[in-house]
Amino acid sequence: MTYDEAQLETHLKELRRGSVLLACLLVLRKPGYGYGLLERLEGVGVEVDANTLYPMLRRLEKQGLLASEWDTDGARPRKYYATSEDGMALAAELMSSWLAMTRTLEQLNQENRDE
Amino acid sequence: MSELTDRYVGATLRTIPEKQRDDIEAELRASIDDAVEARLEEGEDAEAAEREVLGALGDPDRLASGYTGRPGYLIGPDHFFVYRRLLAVLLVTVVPIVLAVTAVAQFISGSDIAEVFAQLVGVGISLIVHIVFWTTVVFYFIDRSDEDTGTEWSLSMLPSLPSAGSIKLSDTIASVVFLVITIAMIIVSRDISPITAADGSMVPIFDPAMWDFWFPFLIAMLAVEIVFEVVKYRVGFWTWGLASVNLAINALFAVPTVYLLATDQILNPEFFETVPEQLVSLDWVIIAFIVAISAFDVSYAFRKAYLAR
Repeated sequence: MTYDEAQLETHLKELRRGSVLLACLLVLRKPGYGYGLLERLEGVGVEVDANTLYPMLRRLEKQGLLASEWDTDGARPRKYYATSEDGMALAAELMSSWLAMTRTLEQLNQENRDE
Repeated sequence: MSELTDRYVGATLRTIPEKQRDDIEAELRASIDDAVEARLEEGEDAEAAEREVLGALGDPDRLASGYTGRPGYLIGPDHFFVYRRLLAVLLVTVVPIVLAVTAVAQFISGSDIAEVFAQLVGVGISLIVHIVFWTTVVFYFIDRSDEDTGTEWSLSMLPSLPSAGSIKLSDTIASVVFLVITIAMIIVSRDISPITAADGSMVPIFDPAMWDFWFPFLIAMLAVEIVFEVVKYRVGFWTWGLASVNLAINALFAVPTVYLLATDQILNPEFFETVPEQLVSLDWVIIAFIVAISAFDVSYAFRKAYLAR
């Protein structure tokens, strides 16, 4: 092994950076609140820190990609976010780019296999 | 809801604009409570759970900067390199000029060498601090405005390569000739003068006492400068080393000269007894001239050396 743990961690972080936003837009097609979303993402292996996720939800809301609503019926009031129509369209666009990228990388991986 | 959470939320909201505060506070508190609750369900102790959750959220100022979208740096990469270039140019031009002017002003007001030196150190430090501080402040605001500042980098800003030959032979010859003439004029002035005394002997323009030490010293400095010109031509371009030597030579020539002029030691008093009063202000003209030339020469050399890096 030629790289150390810290290097691996840095590169993984770079790699994941764009995926968190897309994962949020996809998960929030069904409305959810901050901590619930954090747990859900962790559950499927999308690693994200709370202090990154919470501000990001507000940014996406400001950009009109998420819509929000306060739910005051539960044990404690929670702000629910849901992907807006614009958000859905963006998610579809990002998703197809992501898949195209995956295919390209897979292809490159095959090409260099013999060398 | 414990005091620790209150303190954390308070620290986060401190830098958030008033109208967003209530909404962010309610959401942040709910998120913290949710996370603590989840840990309690796993059987964790209440206080430990709270500490874990708040600790994981990290620096509240950083969290707040995420909410407000305000960057966590002074000058971002869009403007940093323009900032650094401007700062370098300002420091190598403004500092030598102001220091030279300060030195003259001090000599004129009659301070001795030690006082002038102390004054220069003080002025130099405060000048550098001011330049760096105010440039940084201006760029801080430029970096946060959406205005196009016209500071885009372009190909035409590339410095020329530090090739041999960027110092022209003609310039070197002109400098050496000028220096030789200066030395010759100082030596000749000892015996030749337009003014004669009543008994028919020459009255030299410079004080004969200068030949005890200062004229030999200044002529030596001019000779060193001739050698320097030749070395500079052989190197072919300004380097930090050459610019520093240039600074030293300029200082060794200009500082004593200005000091001697300001304290009326260079010019021969007998000479001025025979010429009109107005000419006495001559030393101030010479002082201004020497200071301007030296300051320009020093800053020019450093600018060239910086560009040739």
